[in-house]
Amino acid sequence: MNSADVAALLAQLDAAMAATATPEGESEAPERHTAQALRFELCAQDFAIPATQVRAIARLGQVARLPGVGPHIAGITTLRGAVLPLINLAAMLGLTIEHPPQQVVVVADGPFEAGLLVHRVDALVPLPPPLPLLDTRPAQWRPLLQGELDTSESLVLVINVGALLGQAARAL
Amino acid sequence: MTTTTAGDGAPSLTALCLTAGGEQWAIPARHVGRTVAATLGPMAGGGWVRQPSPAHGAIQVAIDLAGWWALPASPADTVAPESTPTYIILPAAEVGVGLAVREIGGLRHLPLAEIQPVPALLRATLGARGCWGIIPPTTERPEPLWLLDLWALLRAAVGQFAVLESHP
Repeated sequence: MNSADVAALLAQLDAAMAATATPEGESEAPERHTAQALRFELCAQDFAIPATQVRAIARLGQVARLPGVGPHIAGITTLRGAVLPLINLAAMLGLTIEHPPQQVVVVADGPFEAGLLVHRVDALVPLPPPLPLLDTRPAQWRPLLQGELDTSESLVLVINVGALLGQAARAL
Repeated sequence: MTTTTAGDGAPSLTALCLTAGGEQWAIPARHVGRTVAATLGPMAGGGWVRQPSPAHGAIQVAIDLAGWWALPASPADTVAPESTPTYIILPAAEVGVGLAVREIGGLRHLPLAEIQPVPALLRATLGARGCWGIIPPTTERPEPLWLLDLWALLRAAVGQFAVLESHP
């Protein structure tokens, strides 16, 4: 994905976030599913993150490792002049990495902001209420995922950003 | 925060720079009373508490900075921990505990504009060990500089040691 693609994707994200925002005093129409998610690939598995929790997409720059933290924190980098912690999502999910991820999806939830290391950012996809996780999914995934989206191409795992960042913040 | 002005006029923080466990660290100079050369006894509870030699009787314990951050010990530590030359940094008010490091790099004026707070996601890991700020790496200086609150670090390390001692 080149910088023009990233810029286009960010513009789509901004539009999606504006579309999903509910003006004060108005209630959401329950039958409409205008929510969207950013789909990406990591270790040959498709994942999605609610678009409202995506802050930026970037290529991985210089990474400095952190002292005394576990493998789930890949280090820190600098993005737009600010320090950004990088989460090794593959390590948190127990996925085997064949080649290091080179893209970063910056996500936020409450006070936490971090970059997730991913192999390929794909596209915005509709985000209906996800289905429950298949029973065959590993137990360690369950606290970190909202569920699955059954698209025509594949099953997409929807990340629970709040749970993911909370677990990353607590883990030593 | 006590600041000074660097040669270029930009506000800066005067800090004592250190090396331990392969990382670069800095402590605000106002936290530091004095430093003494010391010889430490073997590692005690938790892997970060060291007993200084009797020549430093006023210092009851020293917190090994690398050990506290669970960083790999240097080969010298592995071969003969009790004879490794070490510096102990004592806080501005002596409290019987100091911070043990292998190498002291001297005082530096750190531009305030370059210092960033620890991101919220890392406060439970870095902040709880006494790190309050970061100077991120640059292309010219690839290693980050970790800024330490000496008081918070010593308090946390001694407190954690006390917990371990009471629940062996």
